Amino acid sequence: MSFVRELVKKAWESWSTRIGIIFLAILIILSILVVLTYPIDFGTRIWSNPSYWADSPRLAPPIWASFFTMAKIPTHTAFKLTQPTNIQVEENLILMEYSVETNYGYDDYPSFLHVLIKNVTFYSTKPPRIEVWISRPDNLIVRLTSFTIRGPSPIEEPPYHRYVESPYRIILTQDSTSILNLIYSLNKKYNSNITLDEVSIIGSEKLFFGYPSKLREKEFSILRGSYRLYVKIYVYEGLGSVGEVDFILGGKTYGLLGTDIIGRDLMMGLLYGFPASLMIGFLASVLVTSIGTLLGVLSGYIGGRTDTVIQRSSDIVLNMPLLPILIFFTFIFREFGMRFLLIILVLTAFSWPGLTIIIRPMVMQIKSSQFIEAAISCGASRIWIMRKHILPNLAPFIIAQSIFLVPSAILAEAALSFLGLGDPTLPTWGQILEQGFRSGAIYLGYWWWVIPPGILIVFTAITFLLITIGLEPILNPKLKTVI
Amino acid sequence: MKVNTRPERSKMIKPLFYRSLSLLLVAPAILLLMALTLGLTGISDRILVSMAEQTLQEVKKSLATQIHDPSALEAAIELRKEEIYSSYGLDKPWFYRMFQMIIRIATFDLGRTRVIKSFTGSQEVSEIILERIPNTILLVTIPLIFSAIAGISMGVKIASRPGTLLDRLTSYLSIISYTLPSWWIGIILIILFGFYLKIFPVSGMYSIPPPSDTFSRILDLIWHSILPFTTLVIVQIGGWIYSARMIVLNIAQEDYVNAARAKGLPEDIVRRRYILRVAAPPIVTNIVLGLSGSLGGAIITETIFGWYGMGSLYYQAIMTLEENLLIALTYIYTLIYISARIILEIMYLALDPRVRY
Repeated sequence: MSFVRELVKKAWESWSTRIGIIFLAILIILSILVVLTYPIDFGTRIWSNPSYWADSPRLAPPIWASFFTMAKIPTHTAFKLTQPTNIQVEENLILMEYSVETNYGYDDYPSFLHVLIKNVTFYSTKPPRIEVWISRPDNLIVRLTSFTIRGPSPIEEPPYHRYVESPYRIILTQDSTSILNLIYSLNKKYNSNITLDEVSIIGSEKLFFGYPSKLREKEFSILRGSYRLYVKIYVYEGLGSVGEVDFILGGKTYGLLGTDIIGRDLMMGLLYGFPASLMIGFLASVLVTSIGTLLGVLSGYIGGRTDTVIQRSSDIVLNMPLLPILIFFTFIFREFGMRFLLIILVLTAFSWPGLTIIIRPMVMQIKSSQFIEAAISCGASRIWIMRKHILPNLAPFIIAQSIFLVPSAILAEAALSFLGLGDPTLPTWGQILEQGFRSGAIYLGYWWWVIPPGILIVFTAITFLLITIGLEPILNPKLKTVI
Repeated sequence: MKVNTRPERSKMIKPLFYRSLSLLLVAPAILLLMALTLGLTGISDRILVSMAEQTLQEVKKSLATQIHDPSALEAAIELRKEEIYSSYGLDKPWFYRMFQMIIRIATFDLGRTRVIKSFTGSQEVSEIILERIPNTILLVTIPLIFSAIAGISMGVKIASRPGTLLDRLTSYLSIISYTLPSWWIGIILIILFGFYLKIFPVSGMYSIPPPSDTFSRILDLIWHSILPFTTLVIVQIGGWIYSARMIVLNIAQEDYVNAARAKGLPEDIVRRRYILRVAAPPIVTNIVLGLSGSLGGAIITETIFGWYGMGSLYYQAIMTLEENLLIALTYIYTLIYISARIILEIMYLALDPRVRY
């Protein structure tokens, strides 16, 4: 393996390769972390599953974006309570209360208010009753909504379990009972005359976290101060338990990189793009390099009719218009599943000739040298010569070329994904960009959705190009200075 | 023994002929490849069957108003069905139809589309393509020429002082430019100048409604093409700078250049006669290949900017599976590219005395 050591030594002399290798190390570490921490079916079970993202705000910009506006924009907050804050036991009745208190001091309204109830168990045939309350800084206490959990069916045996698979979600800001109750209390307290029809114009979240400041114009102001949200659960005749009660205050900003139109945390998707891109890049590069090298060596060493056939076919494939052909084949075969493999295969099928054509004359040159003649006269077989003499001599060149192929594969995959031909089970940066573009992100100014994936694509491509720059003297031995 | 320094003409022409022939083979190869794919996957049959069924439905409706006896109606429909299927060529296997299509398209009888229409409402593939070509030239070719000229002159300039701060800076910037995907830069420019600053339109070629007189129409078109123009220059110029610099740098380190300097020739003459003259053919090659490749390569840029060119037409054709249009467009891209390659081969032979096969 001396040629590899030689290669690394030579490459390390160049500044750009050093920077490139450091960048590559970052990419690889991030990829390993993602692979270790993400579930295997991340693409199908989490990323492409809208119900997973039901409790995160849609189209929320990153948290740090509010630094520029100077206003205090509500961040996304989730309160998860696994234990009741208060229990009262009366005759035949247990009252469990789950309550959270929050000091609301933002300059904007939250995007929504959800209450989630998970994993309810009860024993009596009379099912538990649930009430959702809000207590506001203006001393308004409103019972927003109440309901009874579905009772046991005749064939069911206690204990009865409810909301185990998926939680019971009350979207308070869209729940007409809650809105009606709030309107009633607000109208009474502030002498206003808001009707249900006007709520869609006013915005329901303003009813929860504001008060009618100008009665005639139906204008609302934010009511800052201490809010208490609580859920009362009445369990009848004996035991019962609740797994978890969540209060989710939808932010106007979310996480470090914001969310997209179905509330997906973009940072999660972008992080997943690291292993996905590297895998596509490496796989395509390895395939193209092996096929290209194999055909180039065969063509140059065997010569004759093999040479003619290989050279003519590589000439033909090389001169086909790559992007239209890639689009055509990916589109036609897209229904057969495993689309990312398909992209890699199509990419390989039309990118090998470049390498074959460059390698052939190099092989012919090595073939005519004296040590090969010596080996032949000693009775070495063709395969032995190709393996032991020709390939090691070509190795530095092939390795350098294969690194150069990685960014082109990543860019090609991104381009295909951008045209909507990506693999939905394997979210990549190109796909996130495509969804942003298709959803009109650029015409509506959702910059956080489309700029980061592009930066990551460019960063990854530059990493590999920087490494190849340092390898330029190997590709091109005559050249003394590069950068 | 007499040494012939000038090879005979026939010795130059024959390899050129073979090379051109193999290049020309690309066109039928691509037709065959696409036709086989569409045929073997059954997609071609599927398209035709759906078209035939559509026609059959209409026929059924009109027959039902004329014939009232159910069994007679059934028989009539069966008869018409066979007629319709054979008129679409579905009575014969796909390879028969595909073979005919290849011959037809190869002889530039490009056929008709199913849905996509030209701006004037025609469904002739040749008309649809012809009216898109000027738009693509406007969008792609002008920025390409601009960035080639600017990039090459900058590349040549910085190559004369390798290793300086300016050289390093330009080289790194040109690498970044090379990796920038045109669609991403397009998106950023649209968000910045179209959405936030509202200086340029976000999409399309003309305002809606377009201005009435020719002069303001041209101004409108220029206004709409500034963002795509800037996008393509940003992503292309780096490649030109870097390749020109590498070519010149390669030649500048040759021994004969050092020899010329050692002779005491002025730097200016060394540069012009010894370096740039030799660097010209590969640079010209890049330009010709870039120009011919550009007509097919703008699929994504045109889609982003809502530009009615050949690229967005190709995308439209694939999404609606317009068989005829799809194959015809690919065929034309290929023809443009291989003709440029053949012209280059001839130019090499004429220009560079060292090139012999």
